[in-house]
Amino acid sequence: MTSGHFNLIWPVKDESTTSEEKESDGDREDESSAIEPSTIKATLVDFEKHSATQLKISSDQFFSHISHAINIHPTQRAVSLTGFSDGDYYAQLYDASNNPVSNTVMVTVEHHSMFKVWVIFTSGAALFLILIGYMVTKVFRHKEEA
Amino acid sequence: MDYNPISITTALMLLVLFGIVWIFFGWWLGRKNKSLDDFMLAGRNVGLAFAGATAMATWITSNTTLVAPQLTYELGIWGMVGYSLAALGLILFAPMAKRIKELMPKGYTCGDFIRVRYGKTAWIAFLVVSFCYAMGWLVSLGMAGGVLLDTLSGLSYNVGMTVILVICVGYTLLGGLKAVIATDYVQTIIIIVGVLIIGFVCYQTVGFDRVYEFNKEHHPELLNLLFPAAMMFLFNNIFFGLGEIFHSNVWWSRALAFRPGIGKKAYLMSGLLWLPIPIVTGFIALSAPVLGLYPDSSDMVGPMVAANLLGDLGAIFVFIVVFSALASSLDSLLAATSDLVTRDIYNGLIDKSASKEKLHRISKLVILGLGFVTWLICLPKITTLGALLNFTGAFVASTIWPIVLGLYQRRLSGDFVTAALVLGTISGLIGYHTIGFYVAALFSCIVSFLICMIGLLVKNDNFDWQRLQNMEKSQ
Amino acid sequence: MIISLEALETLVLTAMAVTCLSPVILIILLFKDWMKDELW
Repeated sequence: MTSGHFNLIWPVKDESTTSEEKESDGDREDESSAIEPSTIKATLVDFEKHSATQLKISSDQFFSHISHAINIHPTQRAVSLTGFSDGDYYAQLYDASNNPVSNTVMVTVEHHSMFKVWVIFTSGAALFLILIGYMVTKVFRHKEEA
Repeated sequence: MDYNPISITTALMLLVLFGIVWIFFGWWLGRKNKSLDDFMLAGRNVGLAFAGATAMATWITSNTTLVAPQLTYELGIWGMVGYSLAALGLILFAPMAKRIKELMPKGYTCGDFIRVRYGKTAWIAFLVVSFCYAMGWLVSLGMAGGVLLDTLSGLSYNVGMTVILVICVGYTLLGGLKAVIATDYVQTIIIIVGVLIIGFVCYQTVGFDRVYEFNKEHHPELLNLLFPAAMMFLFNNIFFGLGEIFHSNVWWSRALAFRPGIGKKAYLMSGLLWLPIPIVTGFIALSAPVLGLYPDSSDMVGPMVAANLLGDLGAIFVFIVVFSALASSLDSLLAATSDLVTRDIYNGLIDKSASKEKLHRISKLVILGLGFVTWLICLPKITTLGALLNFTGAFVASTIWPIVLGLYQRRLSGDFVTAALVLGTISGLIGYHTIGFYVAALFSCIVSFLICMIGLLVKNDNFDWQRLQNMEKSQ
Repeated sequence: MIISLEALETLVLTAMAVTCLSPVILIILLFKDWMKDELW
């Protein structure tokens, strides 16, 4: 995930016991370089044993230190999270008695490479300055021609 | 959200109430429309109050109220500041609005300008760009209406979308640009007051300290001024906004409708007054995490916070504000696009000798037709709102330099402009698909700029400005 | 590089202040235009 923002979805399973591909879906602008394929297809599977009331996020897979505990309405099936810095994060759904009711999903946040950012930013800035320059010198000072 | 803060009955009542008031307004103003100029250009004499309000209202779309919070939620500070820089479109257009009124006081559309200034081929290319954008915007607005009502009240998407379109088509059809402008004025006030109330309650309830500390601890990137993705999007979004305003008949028709001497002031004022609004709506989104609110999907963060802070009343506020934002843009778009179809396509290509009375009738039919086509495309709800509009960035950004240079330079000729529009658009689309949506407008503008520069160096068209003054006679 | 609390506060409060002014400006302008019969 390249902008620290991602969505976790856990749709309802259908009648057959095989789970659907539930994707950890986020800003996918840069699939080719910034993210490894295995981290995109993370499946958050609700075991459907008890209603999930909390989503816990941690930086380690054993959840020894919880960084975010987000309250979930029992019928909620998606959540949008944001503002994460670079790193790996683990997410799991819990019920009211703190038992896990889903598998664990890993999301890797890796912001766009700064080189790419600067190239695009500076080319945009350059063109923008040229436009502003033209507008200030010619357009804003234009006097009506006779 | 899995509960609907507004009941279906309330939603329908609000819609019916607005519908009746707006359509009556449209009918009442429309009685005084005698001529084509009255219908399309509100008599070409609109004063500063209405002018400023309509420019503001039209640029405040559902995006300003829904996407600004969404982008702030996703990209933090830069999301809202970047979004508010879209005001530059209005501000930079201000002197151009004055120039347009001076150069072609008898003109009707931006198509008129391109046709006379650059010739027929460039004009066709330009019309293609204009229509792609206009339909993209129309459909995204129609869809936004349906989605909003569905989320806030459970009213089905199809019903909500249909009702909003019917209302807007109704009063635009009856009253023309005067109805559009007058309703815009009321809608501006409604939007601003609504946004202020929600923003103020948010500020009172949550406070800056808590927002700052909580986000710093748990969502630090939101406060990051060097947020990589946001920096990447910044100029692309600016060029997208500039392209939207510089090329679209929505803004050109207003430049022609305003009284002489009003255009520059109105656009400057509206730009400066518009600028802070995405910051206020964006701030609401920054407060979401500290309130423990994490939306199902980021585009609902605004309404979610409002409903949380103000209860069901907050949801009603959101409804009214977003409805006003939608309607004030939909009506403008319907009117301006109908002008283009009527004047450029019908009058320009099909029936060159049509009388003004006939064009007046045709333009009403076109509004109806556009509303219907929009409705058809909105029905299947094919794509997400953001993606739809982003796509048009490649198209509109290619028009920036041709238009600015065309208004102030006599050298630039039509063949280079055609190349700039076509190749710019294609480059933008290639960038969109190979790299990402955040380079579409940028690539398009860069390529278009380079071609225009070559055109300026290589050939001198020596355009005679009088040809634009004499527009009517050349028919 | 995180924005400072003061900067955030200034940004948002200024934005809210300007937004407060805008309906006032628009209403005054409407009144002026109406008095001079220059609405449209």
